[in-house]
Formats: sequence, structure tokens, C-alpha cells
Amino acid sequence: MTGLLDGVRVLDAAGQLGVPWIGRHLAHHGAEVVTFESSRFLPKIRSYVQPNAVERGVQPDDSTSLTDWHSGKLSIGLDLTKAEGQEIFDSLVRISDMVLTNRLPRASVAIGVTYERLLAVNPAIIMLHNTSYGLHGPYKDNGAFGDHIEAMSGMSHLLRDHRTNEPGSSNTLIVDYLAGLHGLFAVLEALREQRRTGHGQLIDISMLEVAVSSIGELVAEMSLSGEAPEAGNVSLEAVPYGVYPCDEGDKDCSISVYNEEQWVALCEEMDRSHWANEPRFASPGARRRNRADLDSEIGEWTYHQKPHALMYRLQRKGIPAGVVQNALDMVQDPQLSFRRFFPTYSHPAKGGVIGTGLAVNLGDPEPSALRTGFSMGQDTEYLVGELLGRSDEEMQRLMAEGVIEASPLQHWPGLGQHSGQRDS
Amino acid sequence: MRVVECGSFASAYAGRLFADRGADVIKLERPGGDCAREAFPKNFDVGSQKISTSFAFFHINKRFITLDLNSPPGVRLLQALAGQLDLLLVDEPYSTTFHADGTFRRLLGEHPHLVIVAITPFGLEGPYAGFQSDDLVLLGMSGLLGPAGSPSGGPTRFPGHMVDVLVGLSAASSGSLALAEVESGGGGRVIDVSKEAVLASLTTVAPAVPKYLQEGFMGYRGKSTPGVPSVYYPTKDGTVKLTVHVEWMWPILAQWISEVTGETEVLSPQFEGVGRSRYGELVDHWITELTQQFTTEELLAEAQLRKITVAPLNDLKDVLANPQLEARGYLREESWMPQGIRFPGPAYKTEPDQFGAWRPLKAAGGDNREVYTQLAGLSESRIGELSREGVL
Repeated sequence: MTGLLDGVRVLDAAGQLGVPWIGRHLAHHGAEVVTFESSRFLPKIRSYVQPNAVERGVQPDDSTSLTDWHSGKLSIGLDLTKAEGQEIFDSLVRISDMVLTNRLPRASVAIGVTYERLLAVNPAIIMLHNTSYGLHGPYKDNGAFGDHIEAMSGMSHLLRDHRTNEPGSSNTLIVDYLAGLHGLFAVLEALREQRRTGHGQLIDISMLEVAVSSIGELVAEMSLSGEAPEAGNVSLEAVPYGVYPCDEGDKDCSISVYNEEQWVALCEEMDRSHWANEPRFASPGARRRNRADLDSEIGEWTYHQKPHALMYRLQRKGIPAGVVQNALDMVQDPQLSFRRFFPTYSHPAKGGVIGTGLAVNLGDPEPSALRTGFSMGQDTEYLVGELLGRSDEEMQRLMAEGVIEASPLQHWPGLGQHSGQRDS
Repeated sequence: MRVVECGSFASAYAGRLFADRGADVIKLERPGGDCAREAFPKNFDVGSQKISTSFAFFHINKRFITLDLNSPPGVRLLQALAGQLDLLLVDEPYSTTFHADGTFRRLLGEHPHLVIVAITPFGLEGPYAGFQSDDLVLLGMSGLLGPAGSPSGGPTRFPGHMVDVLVGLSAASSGSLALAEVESGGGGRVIDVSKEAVLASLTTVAPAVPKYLQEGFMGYRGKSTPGVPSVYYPTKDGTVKLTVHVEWMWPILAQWISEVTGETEVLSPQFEGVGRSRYGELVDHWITELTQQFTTEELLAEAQLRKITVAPLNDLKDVLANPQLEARGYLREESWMPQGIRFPGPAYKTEPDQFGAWRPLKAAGGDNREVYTQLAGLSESRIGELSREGVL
């Protein structure tokens, strides 16, 4: 990728989800990003595999989540609960720009990853601390995952089935990504600030707050009027506006009509030009009042059509329409292909694997052999031995005492581009 | 640092992120103001102006100018302003036009250190570059719409302007990265932000496409965590989301159920691991027996002690009364807003604090005089002329 962050070193002491995703973006833009593991605390994302994945040759500790979210990173095996483990961590902090973590405040204190302590070690350090509810307040030590925050923030309520009131979900843990996106912006801005002033900062991300922020206008509306917004696929501007079944109900395609021109075009495509004169559909207001009938009739028309053919057909007439694509559709999406959205990574066991494109991409080509799929502690020798200058004898002792760990499985070429101690 | 942003809500959110951190962010609207100012039903008065809550949320902390970017004098004036800018955030409808008519190329030629972020639905070029789009189209094409919603409902769009928030976040980070390059001695650039690609980059915690290609898993709509059958359970006074994200939570939950209900069968090993899914109805019954013994607050407190992940199913009224948000001062009231209206503050906090007081919202073009005299060197009379001609 761009190498815009060449020379930046990041310690990714996070467990899972949004924060490793930040580290991944930093790594792809040239930063040296080190992730921490130990055989006592393997990150959960290692084991995020489907039950049948093992039959397909996926190792149970080598999930696609690990492959994707930790691509481009180094791995150190380090037991932070041991005093010497903390000393090694501090030595790395001294020569780093940034520490990322998402442990609960009490857990961070237990392993010494707190801003106060890091600041004493490196006054220019940037620390991003992502928690469920923030570092202060009555919920600060409460744990939650992204989908709990969806429920807490009002998002699940807004994603409910408007007919049955059954709560909904993004089912993509969108709150983790919101935290990741806010965190990424915050650390990039903090790096600019650090370069200007030499000072670091603490970035305190509450997943509840980023979730509420993403629907901030609706929260403000509620405070103003006390009225809840309508749930489901509704638009103030478009009617019809919805997702309609295609391919005998196997797939869906969205259709939206924002103006009279699009409405007339849709009626023509449906061979129902007479609708323009029917009182129940003649105006946007009438269509809104009779929306159930309208949606039902459109659904009957779309039901036997192929979704992509329908999308192209309506798009040619200037009508917003889009297939509700699944993973297979996305691999075949010509626009994503045109943008070379899916990178190929070099994986030690799987060979070339397809990854997910970056959310922040300046358009430069991906590095040709970005590595992924590391084994636990694969880079311990480089980081503790070469970078921190510990002797072979000391390394052996630390290994024997379980302070550091290193997997013998792989040795990647190309290490050492960031070698050498940095002035602290 | 100075930013101009024009277009719809994605660029507006990117601009707000910079404005919150103290940048001088100038919102450029068409003469008379963008329709989003009043297009949404919940409006409030700021001075003599009506402003929608949507517009307000996305434009807090900015200055406001007007300019007709569809007229040659308007584009020339933008070119003059660009010399005073670090970052130009351009959304639809201008991004496609400025790419096609060479405006971006000319701006970068005249101001080689300028960073331009061009936001479009599918990208500046490619087979879908001319497609019509909205939130439904983009969420659908990017793979986010299929899983979203309730198990019994159909694919359901993300609420409000979440798509713009997500894209705006990406656009802001791209801008920040490119600004760092300029500050390190590099040149400016045009960054082509595709909303579809940004959203596709967020496809599921188990990355959708790699997961499909390597593990044959296609994703589904419904419960995101199958650790317990129903996920949502009733309490004495509400509903909670209760999950067993990781298997070590199950024996703790089973023990809790047993303590509260006297049920001992729940402790049997046959309910551990994937085998539990065979007894969905029974497990749901036991969990419901447990949760109904508590109020939501009581259940949350006890669950936290036991390290079981539980959250209340809140509506927006609950959010406004949330004690954690209250304690952190997250929802802000400003003296220049009507009493009672509250807006979320910056989405994260920093130490030292990088965020200052909020600048009051103004009418469209409320900062025309100040901005055009100071930054474009226009005289008062020239500003008057351009206003009469409809350019400002």
C-alpha cells in the first residue's frame, strides 16, 4: 500500500474485533504493527471458524478473521501477567508510537496497560483504549460485545420488524466497525498531532457512544419531539421504497422511486402504465397510504425475475435498484473487481487467500506479498532478540520460564525493515 | 487547518469529525441553502432560521457559505478559495461532475498540496459509476443489507443516516492519512471514495467473502450469536439481550439458572457446546424462568458480577436517560439551541481534551462576508454583485 506510515510502530494489545481492525489498516499503510498473544490467552478470533470449516482444511486456530484482521502484522508471544513480561512490554513501548487496546479498565490495570503507566515509560505515546462504555462512569467495568451495544443504543429497536416488533440486529457487529472507524480516524489525527508537537494523547472510545453517535440525529429528534422514528424500510422521500423478492424468493432486489419520472418509468417496465391514473397510486401521498398494496404488487412482479437482470433493467431507466448481494455475488461484483477490492494475501498454509478490501484506501496498489496467517509468537525472536537486543541465553531463559513464546512453525522472510532501536 | 465540504451527508460527517477537533470547517451550500436544512420533519429555530435536526447534527461547529457550483463564476471562486485550503471534501452531486469536467484535475494542478476527497456511490469510474443509488441500494450491493433486520422480517436498512456516517468516517481517515503525507513533504491527491467499497469492507465480523471462499459459510439474518436459542428474553419490566458468546459462559449461566430456579438438569453436560442447540425450547424456557425473576437493572447488575453479557433492549427514550451517557456528559445541550434538545457530543474523548465549545449554527451563507473577504480577497462590492447574480 502507500507506506505513508513507514517508521511508525504500533503495539496492538487488543483482544479482538474493532481494534485489531484498526491495526490492520495501519499495517497496510506501512506501520510495523505488533500483536500480542500467549498460549494462556489466545485471541478469540483465532477460533472464529464455522463447525464445518475444519473439513474444508481450515485449522481450528487459524480463522479467516485472523487471516483478515491481522494481515500484515507481527506476532509476539508474551505473558503480560509476569513481571518480566511487563518489562519487555515497556521496552517495546519506549520505541513505539502507539498502543491499542480494548480490554476492560480493570483488566488493563491487571496487565499494566494503562495510560498513566505508558506515559511514564514514553511521554510521546498515543494510547487508544476502546471499551464497551468508556473509561469513566458507572458502567466502566461492564463488559459487552458489539451486538449488546446495538441493543443498548436503540439500534436493535430501530432494526426491528415493524409488523411484529421483533428486535433486529445488523448481524455484522456494525458497532465494532464504528468503533474501529472512529478509532482509526482518532489515531491518525493523533499521529499528525504527535509529529507537530511531540506529544501523545489518550483516546477513550466507548462503543455505546459511537453507536449512539451513528444515529445521533434520531436521538436529537427524540429529545426535541418525543416521537420515535418509524422502523423498517421507510423513506420520507421515496415511495415505493423497499426490498422485493426475486428468483422465486431466493434473492432480493431493492427498488426506490424518488420522483414522477422514475414512477412513470417503473410503471412502464411493469407494464402497468394505467397505475398513473389509478387514485390509489396516482400521487406519492396516495402511494404512501396504499403502500401495502403497492409493495405486494411489485413483489409479485419481481418474484420470478433474476435479481441482477432486474437491477440492470431498472437502472437503465434511471431507477435506483440494487441486488441484496451475498458473499458470492460480491466476489462477482464487476464494480468491486474493477476497483481491485479483494486483495490476495500470502498465507503459509493456504497459499494465496482472498481478503476483504480496506475501508481506508488511497488507491495505491497493495504490497505484492503482504503476509498473513501468523502462528502464535512467530516474530518473538525478531522483536525480543533483534529489536530489543536480548541475548540468545536470555531468550532461552525467558522461553523456559514462559515469559516469551515463539512458534517454531514458520519463519517469514523480509523481517528487519524496521530493525534498530529508535531514540526514546 | 482549513476544510471546505460540499454535497450531502457523508462529506458533512467527515467535515464534522475535523470540526470537532478544532479545524476550520466551512460548509458550502448552494445559494438559498441545501434542501437538507428543512427537508426533514423535525425542525427547530436558530434565530430566524428553521434547521432540521439532521442538518444540525451533521453541521455542528462549522462556518457556512453559499456558492453556485453549477456556474462558471462559482467554480472559479472555488478555485480561488482552494488556495487557502488543506482539504476539500466533495460528495454528490458535485463529485461526479468535477471528475468528469476536469475540475479536480485543475484544482490539483493549481494547488499541488491540496487533498481532495471525492465521494461517490460506486467510485469515480467503473461499470457501476453511473448507477442510481440510495441507502438501500448501497447496503444491498455491499453485502450489509442481507443479514440486517430481525429473523422474521426481511432485510432492513440501517436507521437514520448511518450509511453516511460510515462513509464519512472512512473519508475523514483517508483525508487525514493524505494530509500526513503532505505534511511530510509529499503532494496532494484526489482520493476516490466509493460508498459501496467502504460498506463492503465492513462485511461481518467473520469477513464475508473470505469466510465464504475458505469456509463455505454464507451468513444469515437472525441471531448473530447462536450460543443461546433466542437471544432476547423478558424481565419483570422489559427485555434483555442475553448471549453466550464464548462457551465458558454457559456453565456460569447454567449455575445461575439452577441457583435461582432450583432446576438441576440444566447443569448436565449434554447442554454444553453445540449439543445445546438440540434442546432450544427447553433452554429458552430455563433462561426465561431466570430472567423473569429480575427487573432489567437487577439482572444487568447480577449478570456483570457473573461475567455474563447482557444488555437492555432500549428505545431512544431509554438512551436519553442512560446513566452512563449522563455521567460522561455525552449528550450536550447548548445555550443557542431550544431548551431540552440534546445532541451527541464527539464520539470519543481524549486526554488532553482536543474538543472545544460548539460554534452556533448559522443560516446558509451566514459566513459569506467573512470567508470571501478573508480567504478569497473579494471586496464588499464584489460580494454584493455575486449575490445579486445568484452566484452566492
